Amino acid sequence: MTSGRHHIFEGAKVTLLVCIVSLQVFWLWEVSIQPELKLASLKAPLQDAVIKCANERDYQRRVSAALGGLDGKTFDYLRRSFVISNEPCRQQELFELELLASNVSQAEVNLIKRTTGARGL
Amino acid sequence: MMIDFKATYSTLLLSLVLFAPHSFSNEEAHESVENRLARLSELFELRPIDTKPLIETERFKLGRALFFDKILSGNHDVACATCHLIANGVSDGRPISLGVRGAGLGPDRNYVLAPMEIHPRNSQDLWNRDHNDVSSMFWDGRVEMVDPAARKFRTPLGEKLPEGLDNAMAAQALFPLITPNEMLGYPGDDYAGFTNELSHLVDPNTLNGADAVFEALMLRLIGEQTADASESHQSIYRNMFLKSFPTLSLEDLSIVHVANALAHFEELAFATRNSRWDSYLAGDRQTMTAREKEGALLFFGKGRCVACHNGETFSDFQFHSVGVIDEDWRIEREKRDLGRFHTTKDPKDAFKFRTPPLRNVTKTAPYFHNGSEYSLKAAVQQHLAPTASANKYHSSGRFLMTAQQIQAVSPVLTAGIDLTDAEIDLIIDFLGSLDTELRDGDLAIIVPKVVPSRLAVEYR
Repeated sequence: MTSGRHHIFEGAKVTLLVCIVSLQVFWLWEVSIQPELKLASLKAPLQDAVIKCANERDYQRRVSAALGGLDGKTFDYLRRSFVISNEPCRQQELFELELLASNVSQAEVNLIKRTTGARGL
Repeated sequence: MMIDFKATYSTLLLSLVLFAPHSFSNEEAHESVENRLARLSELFELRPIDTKPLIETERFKLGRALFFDKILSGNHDVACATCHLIANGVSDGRPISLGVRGAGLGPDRNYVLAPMEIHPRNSQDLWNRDHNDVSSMFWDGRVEMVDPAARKFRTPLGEKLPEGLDNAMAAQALFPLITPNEMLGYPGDDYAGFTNELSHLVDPNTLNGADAVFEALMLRLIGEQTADASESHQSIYRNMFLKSFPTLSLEDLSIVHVANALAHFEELAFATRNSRWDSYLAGDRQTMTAREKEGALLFFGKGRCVACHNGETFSDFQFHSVGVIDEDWRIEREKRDLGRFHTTKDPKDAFKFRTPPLRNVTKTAPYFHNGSEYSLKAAVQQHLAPTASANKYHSSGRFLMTAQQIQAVSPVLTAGIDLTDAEIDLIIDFLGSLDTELRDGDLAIIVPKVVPSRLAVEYR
């Protein structure tokens, strides 16, 4: 009997220890590791999208300055191509929203954008 | 205290599995390529190209015979098919064409007589030239459809252009016949047992006498219209013409019927009927590869290709410069090719050329009006750096591009399109999806075994 009670006692201690360790791991995961991973996973695509979007806007600015040299049909097709090539800008907005949803502050998002590429935004 | 490490380890492992990080895929933030293509398709109002079926009508048979028969050339040494080879995407695989005074086909064609003058342009393919979008022919658009309903054209023949031509293809077909370095030949070009009785009839600069060449050609083909045919091929052609144009008599036949028959053959023989791009647009989503779809998004988006290469034939049939230079190229020339300027005489049109359609473009190398790029990738890259030659020198010491030439480059390109090497490859993959393959039996319909003149049929 004594031996049986001892085993139950030891088992309970182990279970309690496991619970405590699990809770600690869970807390560590939720509070620290997961946000860091998510931030890291979003930061790179955001930076990529910021550069692509800046390039796209630069192109559109440059070609708009030369509109006089384009006939109407060419410009119409070019304008439609902008809808497709503006995709990186839409992606950038999505990434920004995800960062904000991940409790990254707007200031931090802006910092990522400012430090991206030579032009920034 | 005794601790059961095995139990502890197992529980920890379980908790790690339970709380394992879920993947943070950015794909959720991206729309699928398929959805983007669907939106693109709507935006650009894309639909499969509409083509006529390949049927051997009597007029098709006549057009086929004429297309492959060297009897239409002054020296009996060139047929339409010589510079429009099926094996080369109905182009000829050469930087610039080699018409009269030559022998062999495609890249292997060489002069057998010294050239009088070099034909300055790359041979264009003939795919889908009956399409409603096709408003002009030739690199400089010197044959233009002015009023499709009234079948009115603007051509170098002006008022001398015969009436009754069906379309721009038919109008175009007349010009190689009266151009010395294409099919007409030169006075004194009497060789291989033939006399060139046509070449002295026309002034190649003013085209005065073109009507005399046309009449002489009809005489070759069907003989004196008021007498019996003197040669066997004339009897055959007479029969074919009368079957093709059953309401007409021999006296009514003219070069217009030659041109219309050629155009009819070309519109049926050289229609792109089964490209994967068209199948995709028709609803078969599996027919294109993932890379081709990515390439399509770039072609219509970031690559800006669609600004000029648009519509079902992938050309706006307008005139643009992509900065291709004529000098410092393997055939040295005295003059730069002024392209559209030759037709309009408007300085603003200098160095501009008609946007080439892109159906079967992977088969029609080399590219550009002078065939200066042998690979499709190099041709695409030329669009990304159209003024790259601006600060380079010709061996004579002058700049390769004049200020006027730099100014002529399309603003779509000078604004600076930024594509990576990998993106260019994707666009090229997409262009491959525009290819069409002749189906089993098509070749037997398109290429005649023999032509009425019994001259050799060459097609590949």
